[in-house]
Amino acid sequence: MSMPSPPALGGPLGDALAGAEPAATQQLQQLAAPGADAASKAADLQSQAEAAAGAQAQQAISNAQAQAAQAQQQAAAAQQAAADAQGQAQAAAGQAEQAAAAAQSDASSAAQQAQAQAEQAAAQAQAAQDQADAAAQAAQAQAAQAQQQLADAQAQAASTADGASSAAEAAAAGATQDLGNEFSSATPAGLPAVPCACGDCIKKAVDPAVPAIPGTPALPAMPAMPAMPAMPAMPAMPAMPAMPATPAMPAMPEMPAMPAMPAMPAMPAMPEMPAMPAMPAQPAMPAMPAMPAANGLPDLPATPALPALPDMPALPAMPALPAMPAMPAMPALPAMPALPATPALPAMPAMPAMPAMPAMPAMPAAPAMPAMPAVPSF
Amino acid sequence: MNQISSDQWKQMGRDSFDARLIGIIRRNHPDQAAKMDFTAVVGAFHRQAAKAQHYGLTDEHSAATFVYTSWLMGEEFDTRIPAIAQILNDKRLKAAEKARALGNFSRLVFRTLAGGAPADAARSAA
Repeated sequence: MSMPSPPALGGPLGDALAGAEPAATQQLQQLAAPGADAASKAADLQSQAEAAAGAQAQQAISNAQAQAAQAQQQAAAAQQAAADAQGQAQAAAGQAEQAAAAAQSDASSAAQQAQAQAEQAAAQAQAAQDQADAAAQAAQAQAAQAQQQLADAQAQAASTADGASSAAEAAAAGATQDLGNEFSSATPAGLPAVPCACGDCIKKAVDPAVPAIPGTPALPAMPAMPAMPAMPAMPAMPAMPAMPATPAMPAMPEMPAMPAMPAMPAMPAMPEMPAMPAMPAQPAMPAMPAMPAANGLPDLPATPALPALPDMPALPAMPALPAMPAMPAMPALPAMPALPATPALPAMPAMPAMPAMPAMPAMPAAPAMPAMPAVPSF
Repeated sequence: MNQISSDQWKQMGRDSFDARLIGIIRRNHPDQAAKMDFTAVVGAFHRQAAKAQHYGLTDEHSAATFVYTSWLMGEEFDTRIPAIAQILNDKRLKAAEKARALGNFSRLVFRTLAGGAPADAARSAA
């Protein structure tokens, strides 16, 4: 397998090849070799990847378990040593006490010497016990740490069952997981991602083998759609003929001049109006009587009647108005010239016949839906 | 009301596809991404996306997996590696199966190059 590294793409592989051991070449060639068929090769790659990931995780767990077992053995040995030291210290203390009691009853120099030795032995036993206690505590701490490491390794193996052996492999695994999270299997490539509130529904392709409602049978797989027949090419449209030029409009004839209007006859003078008769003189008003002093109002004298107005003279008759002269007749309008005939439009060429559409292939019949299990009554 | 034309819609789709893929590469391969000029890489991405369509990888996940694998392995990985060529050219395999095979192949290659357990040994150990 030759794997040059182009400048734009292939950088990660180039970096990994630079630090690879020569022994890896043969394994790479086996990996890149084709299989009996594509499906078996894809299945082989799948099983190898799963096996490698499982072995990696199992190895991590085994290492952690070995460390935990070793720490527990050390802790047990330390606890046993502490117990032994404690027993020795207690025995030495008992001997020292007996020696001290004997020395008190027998005050000889030999007894005093024995008491001193017994006290020294008791002190040494106590020191040994203290050291054993400290060692046991340290061993217990190591055992607890080993247990924690084992739990961490098991948890990591369970959460990432595909533990990677290198940074490049881990990056490829992480990117593969991100591709599954951020790119939808249901969206055609090249379309904008549809925003969704939940952020999860569009990212997973619908798998008909997984029942939507637990307990119900899975839907049967839909039959593949038959291929659409190709549309026949449309015949080209014939070119439109050119439009004929429109003929120019003939000039309009001149309008004849209007004849002059005849003069209007003068109006006859109006007759003089007769003079109005003089108005009769008004009778004088009688003098008003003097007002009596606070003795009620005197009666008003009667107003004399007004003289009647003389009749108005009759108005003279109005002279008759002279007849208006007749209007001269309007000259006749000249006849309009006839419009030239518009040339006929050329006939449109006939449309070519449309090719017949190929018949659509029949849709395969959808498999029958499996019967729904009966819902238990409550 | 403003309307989006078909060309604008396709451009938005390409921009979104490129942006998400570049984000994944930057997140998982920060060292290599720091040395890259992504404006120059986008053109190669578009060529690879067209090749993915040719192999039947028409949904965006399998197409993105193809483009990402080409970024890992090199521009002509689909013809240089016989096993990959065999899988991609098979008409009976679905797009999701081809994409899964690409992911498995990439991981196994980097595991082998890192001196990890050989695939056969790992399989027997498991």
